[in-house]
Amino acid sequence: MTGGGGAALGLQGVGYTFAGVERPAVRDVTFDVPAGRTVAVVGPTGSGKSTLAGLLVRLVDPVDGTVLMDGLDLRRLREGQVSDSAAFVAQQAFLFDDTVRGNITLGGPFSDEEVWAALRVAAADDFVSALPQGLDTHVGERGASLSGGQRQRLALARAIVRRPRLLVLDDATSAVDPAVEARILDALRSSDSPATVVVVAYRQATIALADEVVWFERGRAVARGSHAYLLGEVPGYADLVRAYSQAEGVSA
Amino acid sequence: MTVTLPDEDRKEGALKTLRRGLRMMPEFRRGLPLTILLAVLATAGRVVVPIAVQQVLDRGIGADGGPDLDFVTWVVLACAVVVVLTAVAVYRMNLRLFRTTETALAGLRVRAFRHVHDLSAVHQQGDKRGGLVSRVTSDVDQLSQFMQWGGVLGLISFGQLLVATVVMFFYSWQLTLVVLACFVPLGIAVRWFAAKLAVVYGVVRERIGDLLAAVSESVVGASTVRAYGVRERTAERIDGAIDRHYRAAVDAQRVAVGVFVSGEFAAALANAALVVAGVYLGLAGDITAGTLVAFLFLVTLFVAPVQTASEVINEAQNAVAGFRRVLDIIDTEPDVQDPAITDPDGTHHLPAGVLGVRFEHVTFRYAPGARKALDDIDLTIAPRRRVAIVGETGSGKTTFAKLVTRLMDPVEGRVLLGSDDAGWVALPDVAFESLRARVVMVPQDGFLFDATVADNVRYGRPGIPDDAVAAAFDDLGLTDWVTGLPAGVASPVGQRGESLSAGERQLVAVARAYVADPDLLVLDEATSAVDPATEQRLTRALDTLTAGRTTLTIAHRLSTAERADEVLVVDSGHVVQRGSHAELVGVEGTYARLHASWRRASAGEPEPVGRPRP
Repeated sequence: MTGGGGAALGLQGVGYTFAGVERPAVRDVTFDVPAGRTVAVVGPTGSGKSTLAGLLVRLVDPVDGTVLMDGLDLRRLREGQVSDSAAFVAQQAFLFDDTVRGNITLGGPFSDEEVWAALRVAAADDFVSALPQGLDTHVGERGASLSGGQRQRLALARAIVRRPRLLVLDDATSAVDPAVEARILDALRSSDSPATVVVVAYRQATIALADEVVWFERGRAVARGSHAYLLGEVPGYADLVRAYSQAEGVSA
Repeated sequence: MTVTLPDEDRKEGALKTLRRGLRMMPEFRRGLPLTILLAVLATAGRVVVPIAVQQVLDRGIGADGGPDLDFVTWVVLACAVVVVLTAVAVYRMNLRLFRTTETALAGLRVRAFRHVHDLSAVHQQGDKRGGLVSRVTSDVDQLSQFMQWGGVLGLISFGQLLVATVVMFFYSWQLTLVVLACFVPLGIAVRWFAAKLAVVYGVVRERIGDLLAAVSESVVGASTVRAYGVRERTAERIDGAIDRHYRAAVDAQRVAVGVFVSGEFAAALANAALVVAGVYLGLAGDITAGTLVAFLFLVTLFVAPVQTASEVINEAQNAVAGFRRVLDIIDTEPDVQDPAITDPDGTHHLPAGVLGVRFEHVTFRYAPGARKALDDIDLTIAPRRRVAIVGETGSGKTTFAKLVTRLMDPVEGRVLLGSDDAGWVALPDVAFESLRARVVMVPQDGFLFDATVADNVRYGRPGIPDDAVAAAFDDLGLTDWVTGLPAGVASPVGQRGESLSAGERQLVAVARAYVADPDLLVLDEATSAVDPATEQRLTRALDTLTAGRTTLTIAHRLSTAERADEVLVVDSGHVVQRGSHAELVGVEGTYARLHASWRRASAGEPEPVGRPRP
């Protein structure tokens, strides 16, 4: 699960339509992510980014087209093979009614050292060591005893400890400091065989961490390129990025 | 997971629990005498058939001058009339019992729910929420089932037992002793069984709570479960919970069946002994044939109650266990007490006018021995100030807000609201009603109920018409958004507001706060991104909402801090800096660092890597 470096992703004419909805959430999406690259997926609310994220880790299978990992159709992989190589962190961090350790290992064979290392990367080591029983603290039903930001950090540590070959973050860093976010991505990419990262992002800082940006609109991947390129060439992209920066208080 | 029963389960007797519970349900006692009278009639009617049989045999068929058919006819008719009257009495009694128990239990449910809400945020985190729900729903159901079926059966059984015994003694004391000799050992055994049943049923109910929690977790966390390939682990957890419940239920049934079989055994023994003894007594001329036959009938009357009694005890134990768990909730002292309840005569109002906030050496920790979430905070925020609280995750920002809204009380020190002109009042002296009317918190992801937009806004001020809701949206500059909804303010929001986007849910939450017209607002700014159009609307609406009110905002956005009159910078439970954005941004310190990091985030510059965390 750790070896082999980043996974190469390929999407070929991928489409997905939710049951009972006419308009497809994602349609005819074709692009590649070479192994070890970091790609930011940016687009307006409801443009299909979260659906796309779910398709990459096979939360759902596409209605049309195929999603390939290292050239293999995800549907042809043995059960568990996708989750062995890929980690996914959703917008809303979900914690089980278990200890901190259990929530990070999910029963996997990770030592406490590895767990602490992952917590450190996710900047969760401080608050976990301040908990009454440290790693053995029960987080309560759905992590009720933790704040939103703390839950999100634990969910990130859960992904980091696995040293995934593919990491998919669906706006999963909204409650963490950009510095922490940078460190997480840095830790995953600094080795000789860096992981592939797909990140659904809004913040400019997050986008800036990506090698490339894919611009999404109405379920389609409309444009692709560097941040600077998209700013110059795609009016919608420039508008959105500027709007979000204004919302955060500084003009782009 | 080990199951821990509340201590009281072992300490307090079943009768004491019942008495305590009944005291809490005054509705239950209303009209009880008539119900009991009906129950007496219903049970008395049951011995009519055995008596009639004896009369027909001894004085009708076996009459001295040959069978007396007129007598037989008269007895049978009289018997029929009594049986019909009995049926009517049973019907009336059941009806009355159903009505009173449902009324009483509805009252209990309301009390328990209200109490769950009074328990502070700290307590609700400790107890499992699924468990709390099961306490106020299925545990109360268990009670109503007992009161309506087991209770009725028990009442009738007891009366039947009493009447049958009296009639038996009247016919033959010797045979009565034979019957009693068979049932007394059972009476002793049943007490032992009852104690055991109380324990096993307690475990069963606890396991059901665990099971509910495990199942709901697997549903809500489905995508995490799938993404991490932990289906087996999750299935194992559920299987484990099911298996533990199954084993507890089987254990409980083992005891319950033991009770039932013992009753059956005693019954069979009594029948056999009765026939043998009856024949001997009959041959000796002590009893007539009619008496022996009547006795056999009476014994069935006697046997049935004993058998059902074991079932009733069964249910009663179950109900008492459920009752105790409901009472446990009501008994839990809320760690945040409403002074209007503890001291109903005092006046507990907040001072008039816009409210300021004062912290006097406030310290808070979430659990004894845990790190201080806030450490000796001492400050005053003047009325009408718009204050932004900033700091990293875990710095104590949210704790600050929870203390101001009194979701929790500080471990040391006190929080006061008011102003220098109108005076300051400590929060523990303020009635919840006054506090909730004047202080409103808008949480990060406000909870929306599965109702219309207008209904959800109305939670801020119950009873206002749709026009007033629409007017509120108009004041907030949100008319274009509302009219864009399929049915305007009457549009349904779906379960937990899922038909709306996160940003739109915030708009509804802001409108809800606006109609509540509070004097102090606590805003927990959402961290998740909102699309720009909604963001703009939200900013505008918030400007209107906060105008003229004291506002504490837990800020995640730079723009909020920039616009605030004052910024409080919180770090590791301390207020490390305080001042306007302009004052703080130029000074070396936590705020300048946070600000720089925000700027970089917005401007899209990469974060310097390897730099020590601020």
